[in-house]
Amino acid sequence: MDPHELGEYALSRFPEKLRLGEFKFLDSTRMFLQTRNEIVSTFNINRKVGFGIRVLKNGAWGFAASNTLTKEAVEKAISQAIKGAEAAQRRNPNFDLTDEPVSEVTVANDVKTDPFEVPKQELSEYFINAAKVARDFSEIKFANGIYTAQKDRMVFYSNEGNKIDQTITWNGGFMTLIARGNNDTQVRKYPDDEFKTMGWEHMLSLDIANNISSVAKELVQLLEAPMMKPGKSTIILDSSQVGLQLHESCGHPAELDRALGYEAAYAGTSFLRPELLKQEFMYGNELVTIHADATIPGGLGSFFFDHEGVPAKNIPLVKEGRFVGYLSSRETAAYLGLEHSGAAMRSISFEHIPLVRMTNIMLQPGDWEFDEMIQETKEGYYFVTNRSWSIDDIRLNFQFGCEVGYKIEKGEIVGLVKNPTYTGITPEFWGSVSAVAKEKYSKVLGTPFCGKGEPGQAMYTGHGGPPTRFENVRVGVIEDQG
Amino acid sequence: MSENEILQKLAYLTEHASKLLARSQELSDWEALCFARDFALTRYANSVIHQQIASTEISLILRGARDKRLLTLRRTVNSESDVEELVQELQKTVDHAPELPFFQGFIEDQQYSQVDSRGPLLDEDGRADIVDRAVSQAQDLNPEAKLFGKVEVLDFEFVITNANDLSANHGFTYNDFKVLSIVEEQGKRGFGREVIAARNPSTFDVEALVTSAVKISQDTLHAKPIEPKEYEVILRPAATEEILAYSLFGLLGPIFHQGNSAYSDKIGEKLLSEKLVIEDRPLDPSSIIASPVDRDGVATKNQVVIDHGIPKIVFHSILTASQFLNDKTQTTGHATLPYSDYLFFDAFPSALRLRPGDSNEQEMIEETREGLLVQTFWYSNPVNPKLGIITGLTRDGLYYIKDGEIKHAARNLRYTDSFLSFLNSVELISKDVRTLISSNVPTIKLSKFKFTGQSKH
Repeated sequence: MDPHELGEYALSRFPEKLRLGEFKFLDSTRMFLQTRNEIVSTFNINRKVGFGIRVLKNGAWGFAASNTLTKEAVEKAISQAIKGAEAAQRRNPNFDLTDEPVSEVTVANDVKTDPFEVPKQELSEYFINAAKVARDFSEIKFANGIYTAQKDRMVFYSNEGNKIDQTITWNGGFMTLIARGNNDTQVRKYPDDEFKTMGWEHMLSLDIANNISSVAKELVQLLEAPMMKPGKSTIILDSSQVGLQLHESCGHPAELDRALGYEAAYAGTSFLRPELLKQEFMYGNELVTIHADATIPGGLGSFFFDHEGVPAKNIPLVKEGRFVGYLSSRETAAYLGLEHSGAAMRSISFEHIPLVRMTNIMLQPGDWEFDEMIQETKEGYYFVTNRSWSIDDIRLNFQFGCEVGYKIEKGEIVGLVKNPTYTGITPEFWGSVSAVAKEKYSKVLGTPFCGKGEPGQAMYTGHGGPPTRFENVRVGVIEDQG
Repeated sequence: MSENEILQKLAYLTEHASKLLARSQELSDWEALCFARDFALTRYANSVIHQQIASTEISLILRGARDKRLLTLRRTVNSESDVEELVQELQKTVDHAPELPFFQGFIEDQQYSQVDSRGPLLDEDGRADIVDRAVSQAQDLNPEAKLFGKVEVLDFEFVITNANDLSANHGFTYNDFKVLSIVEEQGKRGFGREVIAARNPSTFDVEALVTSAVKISQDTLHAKPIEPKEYEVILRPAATEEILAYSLFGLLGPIFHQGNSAYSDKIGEKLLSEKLVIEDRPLDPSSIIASPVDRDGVATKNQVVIDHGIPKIVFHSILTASQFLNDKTQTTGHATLPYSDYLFFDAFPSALRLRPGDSNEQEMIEETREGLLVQTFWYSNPVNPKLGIITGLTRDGLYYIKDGEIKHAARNLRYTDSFLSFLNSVELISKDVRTLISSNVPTIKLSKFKFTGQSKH
């Protein structure tokens, strides 16, 4: 049945006294291709179509979802959602909402070549050709490709007047190279987190096969590289590692539902507690300005409307070091006394409720040339491409590993180090920034698998920025533990 | 829908798909798996219910092959026409699917065991009632304590058929309860957590779990910083489970055979403590994810994964066994059932059990010269899979032990260590085990475990 018809039907069936009644149809199709050397190892297409009903009644939430697209199923879901909200009354919830503009619109992001229309042979050959290039090096035993594309059509109706039909398409992929030699195994990924709300043209522009050779060559060299010395050091992070550092140590702690405790029992809470917003807490130093921007064309966390029907926004989280804002929803923003939602609510498929999710978490550029950052580093490291990540439940103590480190001495890169790691405490780390590169070095990257919520929702979110230099950072954790 | 109605619907949709697939001229081989997930959840935070969720999903996964070309399509379905549409799409597209040269076809008919894995499920009022009881009790224990957590239930049912006349169905249910207590004083917070899963929710001892969570949160409110270094550790069940899972990822077929695992080329060698026996028990009704059939239709069996410190098997589905061992029959029956969309491995055990010992937590504490008691780990991740190095943090309960006594709660620490080292130092294993969703795990005592950093709480 047509989702708009179901939406209209839902509106006609919501009881009059509901504070909020939402119907959200979500048709999500995800394509996943995996290659191993010169063969395809996995190819599947997964489509989930259904709707969810969310109600706010007497200050309590209820949600019910089904993949049966009939009026009867809508009726049943409304009844289930209301029953859930009524059962929640016994613990006196008192949730409220910000008032938001309503929209009646059909929108879709700009896609030149629909990934789902690309011949399957072309998809697989794209990665197999790259594998052939990488495997020219005998030490490289595996060259594995991963490609993911997704198309989400949301039809959103609410008893406040929203009638939104939004389609978002994204895709991206990379190769993982595994080399063996010198009694060691090393791994390199190329390219880094290049997932975009674009079509297949994005993958063509990356042209992995013609660019992977230098990474493969470096991977072989990495097998012979020394480990780094443990201690305190200056480090420069490349755009992808800056992106993940932001994701973990700024994006997640700036989720207002998390700061208010809604995720306390699973993902944890946040050191960015609401009272710190009023105190203009120094998250970093004056070189650090961070935005959550859902309006960046092509960003993996970009959209037109969030899953509460609120138009996408660019929200400053940190301004010249000061903590100034949260990622928020209608309910959490209202709780904090904000006038409007930060438009960050999304769910991964129809049967999930929306949660506050990252949009594109971007470090704003500075005024340094990249070469200048290296030249003005007496001794340190340049770390590239994330390999491992871990951060505590309030997002303070983190430890990251990268795939490759470049040793810097007297302003020059003098060699490789393998298994580089660094660790720190979030505000101390962002307080140690000594240089941020110019906008031309900035990249908008992202992850398709940001986990949050119970049951877990792996959402596509964006992050990135320019290469950035940090001072006095503890490095070499593996070696340090002896 | 009732369990019977769901099963009837799944059988009907699968049969319809099978008939269409069997008649297909385009397909040389096929498999149909139809499943239903009836899921409900009550989440609470700040002692208030903030999510009440009920969802029903019925999906059909078709795998169709034309010679070596293999295509997997999955779709939510509800009617015959949905099934027909998906079969048509498979027939239309399979010729354009990429070739999987290693593909050896689907599995032949199997003999399955019987496992009783269904039980009563809490409805929205039952779930809200547990939250209500928990919050009331916490307020009695400490008016400052706020509770956070969830009560979650799942009924998962599936039917699988294939071109080799294989036909199987199964289902399981669970109830899952988690409680986190937070107490706050002058800007400082203490955290305490308990979690348990059960087939029958009447076995939940809500009062005991809430009492424990509140006590831990009161203790950790006054946690003292301690030096990160090597300690003896006592890992309570939730901490044991996390360590166990991350120590077994290297037995995933693709990771193992690509050589990026601490176990690569070392099956049959003694790598871990001889006290360590880790089993996968899908045929044991006390395992929550108990199933006599895996996602490929392969008959599962209880098997030893780590036998007195010696790794015995590498986890395979029919596809990874075909790819890496050139023999689909070498599958270990670990193809992951789609009971959740938040599962990221093709083949991994879901019914792990660390064989219990004869000790208890009190004895372990008394046997500790200087060590830590860990309630839960958080955000563990491999740092160097080849060396078995993992990092992560303690969470929601950490205590310092000196000379056989708990001295005080401690601020959270980061660990970075190789499981080849710390799982070689198992000293004691408790007799009691805790049932969690994908494992049954005891408390264990290790003689060495390296902590490398401090957190601030």
